[in-house]
Amino acid sequence: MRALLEVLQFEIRYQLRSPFFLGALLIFALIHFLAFTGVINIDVGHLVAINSAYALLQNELVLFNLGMLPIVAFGATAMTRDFECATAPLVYVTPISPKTFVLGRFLGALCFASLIGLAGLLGAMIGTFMPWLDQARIAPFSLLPYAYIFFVIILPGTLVMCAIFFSVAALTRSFALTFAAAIAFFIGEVLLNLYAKLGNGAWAALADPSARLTVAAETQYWTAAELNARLPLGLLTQNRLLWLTAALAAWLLALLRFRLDLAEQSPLRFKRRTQAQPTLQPAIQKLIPVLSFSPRASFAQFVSQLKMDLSCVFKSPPIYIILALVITMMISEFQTDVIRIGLETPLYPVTGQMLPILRIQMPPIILLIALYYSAELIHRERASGIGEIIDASPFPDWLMILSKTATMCLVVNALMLVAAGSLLALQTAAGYTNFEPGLYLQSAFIHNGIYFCMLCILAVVIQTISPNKWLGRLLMLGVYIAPLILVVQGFGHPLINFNLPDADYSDMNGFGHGAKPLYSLIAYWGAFCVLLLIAALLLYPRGNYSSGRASVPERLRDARTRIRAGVRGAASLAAIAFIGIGGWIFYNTNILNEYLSPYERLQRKADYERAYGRYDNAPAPSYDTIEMALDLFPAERRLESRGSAFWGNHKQAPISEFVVSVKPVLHVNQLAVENATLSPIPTTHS
Amino acid sequence: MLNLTGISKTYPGGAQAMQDINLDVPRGMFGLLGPNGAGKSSLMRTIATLQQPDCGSIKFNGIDILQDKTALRRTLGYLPQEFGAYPRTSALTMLKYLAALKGIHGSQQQQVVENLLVKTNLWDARNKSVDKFSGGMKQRYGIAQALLSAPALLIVDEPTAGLDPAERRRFLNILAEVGEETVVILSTHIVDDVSELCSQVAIMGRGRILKVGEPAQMTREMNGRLWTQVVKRETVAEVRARHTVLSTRLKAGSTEIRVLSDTLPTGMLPATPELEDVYFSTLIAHNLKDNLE
Repeated sequence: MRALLEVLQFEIRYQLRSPFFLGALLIFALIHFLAFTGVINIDVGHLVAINSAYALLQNELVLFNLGMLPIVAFGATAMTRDFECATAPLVYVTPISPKTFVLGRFLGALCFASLIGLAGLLGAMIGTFMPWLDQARIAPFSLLPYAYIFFVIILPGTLVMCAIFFSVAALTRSFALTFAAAIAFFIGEVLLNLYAKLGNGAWAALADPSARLTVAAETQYWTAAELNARLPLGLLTQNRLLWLTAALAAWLLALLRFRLDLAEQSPLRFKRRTQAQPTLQPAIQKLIPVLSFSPRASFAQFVSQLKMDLSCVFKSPPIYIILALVITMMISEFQTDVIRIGLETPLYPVTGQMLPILRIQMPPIILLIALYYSAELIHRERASGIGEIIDASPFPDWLMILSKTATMCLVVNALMLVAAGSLLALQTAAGYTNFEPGLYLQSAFIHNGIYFCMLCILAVVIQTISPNKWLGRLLMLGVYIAPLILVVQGFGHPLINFNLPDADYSDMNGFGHGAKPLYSLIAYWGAFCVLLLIAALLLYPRGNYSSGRASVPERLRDARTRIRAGVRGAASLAAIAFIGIGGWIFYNTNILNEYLSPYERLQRKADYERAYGRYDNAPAPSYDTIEMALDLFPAERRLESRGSAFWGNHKQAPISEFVVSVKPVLHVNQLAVENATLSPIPTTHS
Repeated sequence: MLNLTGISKTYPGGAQAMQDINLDVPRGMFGLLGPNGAGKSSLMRTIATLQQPDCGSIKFNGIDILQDKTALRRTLGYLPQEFGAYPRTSALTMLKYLAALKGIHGSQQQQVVENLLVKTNLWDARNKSVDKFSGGMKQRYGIAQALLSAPALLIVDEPTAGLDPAERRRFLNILAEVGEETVVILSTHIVDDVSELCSQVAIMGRGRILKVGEPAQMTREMNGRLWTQVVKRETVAEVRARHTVLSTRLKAGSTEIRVLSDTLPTGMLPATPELEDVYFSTLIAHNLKDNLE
């Protein structure tokens, strides 16, 4: 017992100092807070109270999938950590029984994984008290829904995931294999959801580990009043018991099989076949290499670095997991949005229907890539202990930053290619033959790909400035989420919102008039990204700096030595382009047109209602006949119309006054009403 | 060849890593001796363009290192005290990659890398991942990468720590061969490394250069001033109180002490000076004795 407590105590001290735990705690609380304050929108229906058990449940079922990452990390590293930190020989020889060791480590992992779930719940609770929420949708505070969520969803869910992946890690002793198992588990879940839509609801509802299908099956016929008052406990309890039993079985297997020994290969581990190498060694030649630093040689240096950086990404397991995720999501969305299994008439899978899938499904995956790999790439040399050797090598300063950026952009475009390829394959499988590869390329690489590359550049720059990976990741997450909040708060002008709008596509009109503003914004933010890259080039750490704040003047001094003619020229050009194109966009949005923030738009509607609300039920004549000629000028996006209409009074009483309103975008040449006088009401509304 | 003038560096906490360092390093092997924390690595990193000093200047073959880092990097080989490699990457791949970064391209890249793999006895392990190398193999890989561009200035920071005697010998032989044509700065706290190889040596302590010269000359200067005696352990403190004790060595239950004195202390015998004696006497002369005990 005492040994168990000591193992547990050590776990607690270890995790409390771990930036991963603290970061996950913070991110989880933040994401839940954002979900409940309407920034991330998870639809539960507008009649359901925001703080009802059902709303909490729906949010938790979606967000719990995000929680899988820390849970797998806690469960797996509890058992693989000793091998990664090379502490296994020290720990395994202590006089502790394997069962106590397994129990202690498991309880530690479970405890911290559940704390992360609890932090999320706390974030949600704080979120529901925010003053800007629709107060009509807030039920009086009660602790019951939170307790329900914690004991029915978070705790059992964490226990199940933690036990399963803890056991996989204990038996395989490999973090990569455990991570792969987690992704396989996740993909299984997505496939189960598809399977449920094919009409196998009951069985799938019982088996769904995420319990989303279970809750859907149990509550599908509940009224809003029931959703606000009742707690789903029938089918959900059975589902939880089923999974807890499975988890217990997996955990017992680990408990029985785990040994405190250093057997290098576990039975589940693949043994790499060693290649037979020719032992003939070449004779040493007297050779003084000729070093070359011409532009062509610099390009060869760049290619060599790029190969190394690409191998960093493609030799790491997460990229394959993310690829599997992309394909799974494309299949799932295709089935839901296009084939619409079990719901309505399927849509014909034209390419135009595929493009929104790319737009909606890819950003979270790209964010994941930007968060994970930008940190890995930028801090790679220092993390692998090769930083000093590399930094003292004679390559130009721009080399590293450009190679890392190019790697990120190539990875993003490779993912887009896989996504587009998956959709193309799905179209073919559904019997569609009019392939439009050009349209795919335009959407995947230009309309979306460029925005995703912008995100990657931002992440690279943030990591360059940040002294460590985790701080950089948190900053990047903040910079990604901040505009989403700012847009809600009314700061959504395209010139300050680091984003590219979606260009709607229709088979009749192509990308139509949406393309022009998109390309202007691509040029505008493209110039901005060049400036960002120049900042990163100047601040890229090369050599040893003092720690903490003292490094700032040292890095600035290095930056000053890197400002050469080429850098100055590129920065000036980019700055001129940024300001010039920005001015042109502003001229279009704010001078040629009137720019209203979403907040101002709402305000204007409210003002309109206040000013003319009194006419709402006032008697007005109705149209008897309308004769109208319309001339359309599609190329100029303009129409001209003229005509006349007859109004008749079909009311019992005479009408002395009524309002004729004209949309503010219309230019009126002439407006006349026979047998009446028009008295214009000066207004900004209409 | 390499001239350092007035180099100083103070870290933000107030620790003085280097204080007014002036050195002239000629062609050949130059040893840098000093206890842990003497500032050897700071000095090495500064010469290797990785750290900016607060003041002073460093010139190598006409290159102002602090102004034109790139020019020095083109002719530099650097083996830091601690280093690694990209995970899951073979020695061959790593060396080719580093060769490209150092400006070696085309067909000569393959040749240079193969040459060095053979020279450092890593040919059979060339397809093995560097992070799976043993200590000696890793150190040899380290020297291979430092020699890629046939550097005119080679800086190696404590390269023999943790090597077994055979590996250490092999490593020093490679260095000695290189040292015939280039400037090699070897920092170490193993005195034997320096006395065997280096034509010049500098002793560092608390960020200062305490003594510079040829090892043979330094030991000659001590002739007639070094004495030894085998005493009982209990009497060591007594001798210490009366004489400048450079070192004590336990031998089969008794203690052999080495004493510095201009006259023959009673009961002692003359001893042959070694570089280690010079090293200890220099540290004692500069009140750095606490580093010895």
